[in-house]
Amino acid sequence: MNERPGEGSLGGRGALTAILLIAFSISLVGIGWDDGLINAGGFRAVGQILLAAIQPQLTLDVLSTGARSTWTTLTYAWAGMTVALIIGMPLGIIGSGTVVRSSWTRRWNISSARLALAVFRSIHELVWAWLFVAALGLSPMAGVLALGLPYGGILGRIYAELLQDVPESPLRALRSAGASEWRVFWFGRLPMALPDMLSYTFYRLECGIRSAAILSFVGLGGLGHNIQISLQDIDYSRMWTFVYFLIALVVAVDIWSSLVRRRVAIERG
Amino acid sequence: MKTTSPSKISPAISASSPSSRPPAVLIDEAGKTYGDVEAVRPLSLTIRPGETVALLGPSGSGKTTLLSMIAGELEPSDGSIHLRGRNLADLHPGRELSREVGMIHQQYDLVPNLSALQNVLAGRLGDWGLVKSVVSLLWPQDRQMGLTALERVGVSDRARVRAGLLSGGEQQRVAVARLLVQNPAIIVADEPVSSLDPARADEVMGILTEAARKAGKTLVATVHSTDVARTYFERLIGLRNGAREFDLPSHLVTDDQLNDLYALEGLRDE
Repeated sequence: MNERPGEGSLGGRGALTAILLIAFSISLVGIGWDDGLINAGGFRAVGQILLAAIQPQLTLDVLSTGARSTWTTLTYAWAGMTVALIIGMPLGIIGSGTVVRSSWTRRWNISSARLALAVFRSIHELVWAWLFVAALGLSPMAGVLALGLPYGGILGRIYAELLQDVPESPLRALRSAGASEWRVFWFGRLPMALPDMLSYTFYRLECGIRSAAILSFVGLGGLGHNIQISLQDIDYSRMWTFVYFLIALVVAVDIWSSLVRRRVAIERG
Repeated sequence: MKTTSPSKISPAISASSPSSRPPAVLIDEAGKTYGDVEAVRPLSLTIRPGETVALLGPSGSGKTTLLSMIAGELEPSDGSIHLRGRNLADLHPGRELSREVGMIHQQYDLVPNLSALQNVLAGRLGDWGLVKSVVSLLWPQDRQMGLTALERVGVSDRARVRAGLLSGGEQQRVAVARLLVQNPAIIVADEPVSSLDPARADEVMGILTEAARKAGKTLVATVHSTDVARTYFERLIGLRNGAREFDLPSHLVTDDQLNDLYALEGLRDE
């Protein structure tokens, strides 16, 4: 009994929990609550922000700015996803190691493609943005590349795994019909992995929209930029208008993606 | 151990049969061992072009191993296998092999997201160039050939339906149609109907054997049900413990022989 690690140490775990709880309680006592830890005016600000949420500014001027910056953010996200697909698709296919038969070449392909993908995605898009803004200046290209590189790394990795995980027996049938690995890829692997790949890409597009909004804080324009300006002006009503635009954009993409997925996916079982 | 059955046909005898064509399948003392286990003991047999042969036997009898060797999926440990006069070991896996032998499995053989028609046309992948294959994903090539094959198995009305949405029986028909398009000389089927209900199994087996007969194909199949085997196949080969028990025209196989083939060890008439 009690040979599996982590099991049978229930008593030990309980003791650890108790120690941590005690430490936490002591730390509460140690905090200087009156020394401006909590902004006393903060509660009022929260109230104002919440109140502004139900009365967003709906003047024609703000609405047209909102529409335009929504378009800008969507464009950034879209262009960034395009770059991400251009990076992620080929590297994902190579990284899946599914189109080469020789095992040595395959191992080399998998490890080099995966290393490249790992480098791309281990750096956050904000850091990429700083790098590209430093290199290219405040240009749209900097934003698009900042988004496209890490997203390409993420897409490629997921694609590689989805392409590896398709059921083997239909592929075997294609091979026995005389198909080479590339034909097996086009006629078997890709169609079987496509619904999941598509659905993940749409999810990433949603994330891309959020990221594009954040990237616009860097000064690239778009919804995030306008939210930032409104906050600086302490104009919460206007800020909410832009936030609602952002929410609407994400919801619209979600609806679109579920429509597309319904067409591609098939019921299993 | 039992003595071998009286009707064992040696390759030498049938090679001198009236037909001058080489036998569809010639197995010369081919066997398969895994470590110490003899999955199939070295045996010889000849299958004439156009013959329909069912391999019978309890699980572990070696019938699937033998079938996989004929299909070129498994290499025999000893002996050799010739398909239409050419050594299987010399055939290039892929295109060359796919001309000689095509295989149909129990189930889940189709690509579920592609239409029935595209699955059928996948039988042409060995002949198509890569560009034509990719183009065919969007605009199916050799469409008429695929539709004709679907018609022959009775599911032409389902051509545009995605394979994953078809019933089990329909899927297996589509798999048969794909084999017709691939057009190999020998069709090898591993328990092709064992995942279907009895009525559907009968139907699909009828279609498979009928299609093979019409196109003059040789058909070798492992079959679960002795009734199905007797109804649809000309020749039955019984295997047990990796050795051949009988090899007879199906109308000569007796119930006793079949019972004996499947009987539990120790309960057999010695």
